[in-house]
Amino acid sequence: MKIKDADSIKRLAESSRQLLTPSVPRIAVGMSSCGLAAGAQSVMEAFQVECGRQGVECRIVATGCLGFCGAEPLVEILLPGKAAFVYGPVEENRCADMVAELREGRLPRDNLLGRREVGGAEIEDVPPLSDHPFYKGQIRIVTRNLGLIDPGSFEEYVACGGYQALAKALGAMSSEQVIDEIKSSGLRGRGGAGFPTGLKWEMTRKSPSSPKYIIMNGDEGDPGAYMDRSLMEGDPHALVEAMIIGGYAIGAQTGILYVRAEYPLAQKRLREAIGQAKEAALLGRDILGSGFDFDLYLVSGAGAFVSGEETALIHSVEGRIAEPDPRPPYPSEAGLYGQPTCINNVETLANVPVILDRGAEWYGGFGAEKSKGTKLFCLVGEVARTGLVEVPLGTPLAAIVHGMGGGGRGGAAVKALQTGGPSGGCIPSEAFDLPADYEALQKMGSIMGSGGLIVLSERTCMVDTARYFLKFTREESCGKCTPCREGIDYLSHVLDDIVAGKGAGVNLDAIEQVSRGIAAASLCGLGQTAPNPLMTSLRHFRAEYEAHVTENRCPAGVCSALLHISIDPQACTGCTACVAVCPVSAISGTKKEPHQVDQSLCIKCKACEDICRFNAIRVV
Amino acid sequence: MDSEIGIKTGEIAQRWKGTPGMLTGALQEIQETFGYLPEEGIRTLASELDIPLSRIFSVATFYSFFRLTPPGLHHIQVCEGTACHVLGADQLSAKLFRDLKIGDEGVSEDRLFSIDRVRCLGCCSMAPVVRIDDRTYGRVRQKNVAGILKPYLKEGDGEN
Amino acid sequence: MAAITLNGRLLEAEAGEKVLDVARRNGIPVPTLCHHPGLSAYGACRLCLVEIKSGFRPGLVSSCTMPAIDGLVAETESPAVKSARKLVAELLLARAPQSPEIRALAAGLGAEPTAIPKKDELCILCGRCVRACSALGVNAVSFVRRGVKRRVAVPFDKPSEHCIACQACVSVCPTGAIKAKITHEKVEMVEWQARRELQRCAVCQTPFVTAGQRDLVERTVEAGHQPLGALCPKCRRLETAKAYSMWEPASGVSG
Repeated sequence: MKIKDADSIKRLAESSRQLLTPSVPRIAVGMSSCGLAAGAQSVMEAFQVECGRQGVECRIVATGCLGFCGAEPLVEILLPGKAAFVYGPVEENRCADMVAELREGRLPRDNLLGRREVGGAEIEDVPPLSDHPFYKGQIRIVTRNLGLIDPGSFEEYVACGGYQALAKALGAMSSEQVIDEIKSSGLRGRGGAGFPTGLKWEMTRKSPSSPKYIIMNGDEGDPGAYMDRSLMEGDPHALVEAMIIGGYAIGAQTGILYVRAEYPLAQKRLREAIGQAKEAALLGRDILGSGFDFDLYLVSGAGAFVSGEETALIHSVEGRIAEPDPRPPYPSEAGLYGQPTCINNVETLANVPVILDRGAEWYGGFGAEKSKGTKLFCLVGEVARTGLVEVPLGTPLAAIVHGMGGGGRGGAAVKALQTGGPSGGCIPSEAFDLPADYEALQKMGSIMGSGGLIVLSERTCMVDTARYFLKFTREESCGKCTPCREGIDYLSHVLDDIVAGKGAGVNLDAIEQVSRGIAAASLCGLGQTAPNPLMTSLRHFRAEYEAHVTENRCPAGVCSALLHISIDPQACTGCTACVAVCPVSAISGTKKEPHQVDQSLCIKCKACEDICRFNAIRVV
Repeated sequence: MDSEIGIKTGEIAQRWKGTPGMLTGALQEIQETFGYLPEEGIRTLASELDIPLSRIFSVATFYSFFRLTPPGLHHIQVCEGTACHVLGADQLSAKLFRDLKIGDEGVSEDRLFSIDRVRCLGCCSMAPVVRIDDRTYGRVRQKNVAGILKPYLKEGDGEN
Repeated sequence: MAAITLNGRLLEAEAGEKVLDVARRNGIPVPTLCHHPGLSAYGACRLCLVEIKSGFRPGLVSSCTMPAIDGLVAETESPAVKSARKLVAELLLARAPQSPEIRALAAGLGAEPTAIPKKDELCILCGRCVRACSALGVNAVSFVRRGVKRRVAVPFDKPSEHCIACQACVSVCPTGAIKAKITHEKVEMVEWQARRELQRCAVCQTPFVTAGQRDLVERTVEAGHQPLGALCPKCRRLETAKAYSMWEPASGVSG
């Protein structure tokens, strides 16, 4: 169906509303990549089979991620006239019982996390989802549709108010007015550096040359960060809408969605959304009768972290190796095919429709003085509740880690937080009263980055973590400039030596000096920030380095070459489970009596620790 | 050019010609079709898209998603993201290499399995994560590995 | 006309000039490796770093790529510049310890062998050969792989069918890492696995040019000119002179 004007969007929104609040129960299963990894596909199929078998009329849909990944698979059941109830984790074998309870008119209670208001009668004894410790303090602006709508349905997006911001922009605003609105909202780039988005748009618009291009940077390469994946998979139309608005604002008629190859589902959902928008005539010529033409293409990455750097990304789209160029010129002057190009991060763009819809003033009411709005963080690692959280910028880190995250996994003490991935650094737990905003994190030697928050506990070795990131940047360096290629290689090998127990001669001060040199001399952001994980952990956890270097000891019990694995004779029951899994037959003993580890054979794979049910394996 | 690889690559090249991202897009489709990038495919693509062969080879060896040798029947991706690393991905991939008798070249002798250690798959809350072909497995511990591999092994036995 | 300040001196910059150009024109020494006046700027070796003080974002930038923007203030020998160049030289020295050129360069920048493990390469990945080959439209060589595994190579590491053995790569390589074996009959590019017979001069029959080189020259010569590729340099000079009648003494001239 072709949409010709603003009114027909409103009409479609009206007529589609019943998709979200049907007259029969609506069962929504979170089917993003993380949900699928947790078995959401089987859960959805089980609901389909059971509803058919038990004769319960339901509308079963696949949605994006509700954020509480630690409780996947997540299911929301909307009961007409009542509320929506969110469950997690929902195992496949529970589905039959849940459907039976629905058939009998009872509310399933197992693993019920809370209810979401949909304007119906309240069920008093079920607390709202926003009271659940994971959701308490979260504000859902960017993730407004995640987990609520079927990302494959154009109509459901429109039913939630989708494409009305586009209609407003094209119908009632000039390009300059759109830019002014974004400027006064205070929106800053969510990809890491925090450059004001409106200003970036204005610079590209004012660049004299044309054609111009707008690119969505969906090369979310930071390990431990998946905010952008969730948005692309869960609300693809919001990004398509934002790109059209951005194209209109800067004067571009071609947009490119650049998505990394590791995200096949995000690519599929965005391709579908482009197709649907084309069919609705929201892409192509004379959009909504405004005279504005715009086309959108999806370009896939091919596995290179450095592609996230703007000039490297441009080379990648052009079919070249992703090598950064020194700036100037900036992409806003000479970018894709040498033309003015604006590159925005996924999360940044996801803010655009809602800012235009509700106004810059409303948006500026959230967040901190210099950091307006909300930020998505991925809370992962050694944390009790993992997931995607959206909080106002400036929220203290402690509220995120201890409040929403519930502290260390299995009660472990939290030692530090790694922010900003391989370009960021660690923040020790003593500094968790710090607000999560651009300036505060930078002051700590870390960066906001795209928003990965990796919780490190007493069971995490800081030297090993630094080694992990340096190995990562060594493998991801494009190899163009000397300091990054040769310098990171050197640092990475030094850290390899330290964790392998060969660090006796290492001079930590000299390492720090080389790190500073690489940061100052490298060509692009990747090299300039690559030493951060090493420099920050050296600053805050020097004692751990010294224990490795001078005492040949890993205090966290992680670095396998420095470990000693033994069996506690008091705890061991002689069940022989460890004997069966040991790949090198290093464990021996009589059945039902304590066993021993032959140190000369042990390869420290920890398979025994993994299988032992009596906590008898000692790792020191 | 008359071979299957030449003909299919020619068709792929024509579909991508002139669109943004045509080179990486075409290379990806060639890899989806053949499981890897055959030399003949790369050569055909160079002449069809009129791009120097050296540039395509440069691109094909720069990006980690491209492979120049055929993978195993089942391709295993072990996520090397931070969350997975912290929760033992190293030991997990060591076990897979060990159990499936896979050497440095990444393919088992019977060519049933190949392994790549890949960048973050973005399922960090399900760490450690392993993807086999199109299926993603979360919270994989060493003790679950045998169970996860079972269906793939069975299929292989039938073919041997 | 733009003007920039380098080391406290106010210097004029012509349109399109880079900071490096202005410095060198005024006798201010700046070390370089990946820079070559005949090739596009690349900014990779990081030896030509200068420190921006004002007029642009402060910090270290490569002067070979930095436009000489009006009002720019920069230092070429500040402590930050010196220590960064020294680190770069130390890293290069560890990569190519056998190269006399790199050793001389390192010595000049006060860099000595460090704890950084030695690699025993000659190629320092400056990319001059890749840029030269591409500028000629030959595109026989390119960078392959990435990061520490990056190297310059021909596709599939198989004998190159595109190399014309023109040796432009040899002449721009700063460390002598590319070898050409030239005999009376042929040129062999060792790394690119290309052997090319030399074609004979149409007049004197001396072998002097590869077929690819000759074709390239003929393609680039302006239309209407006499094809030059068939004659060796010596015979070409004679032919040219003949064409302009400077060869035979004019009859009316007496001693």
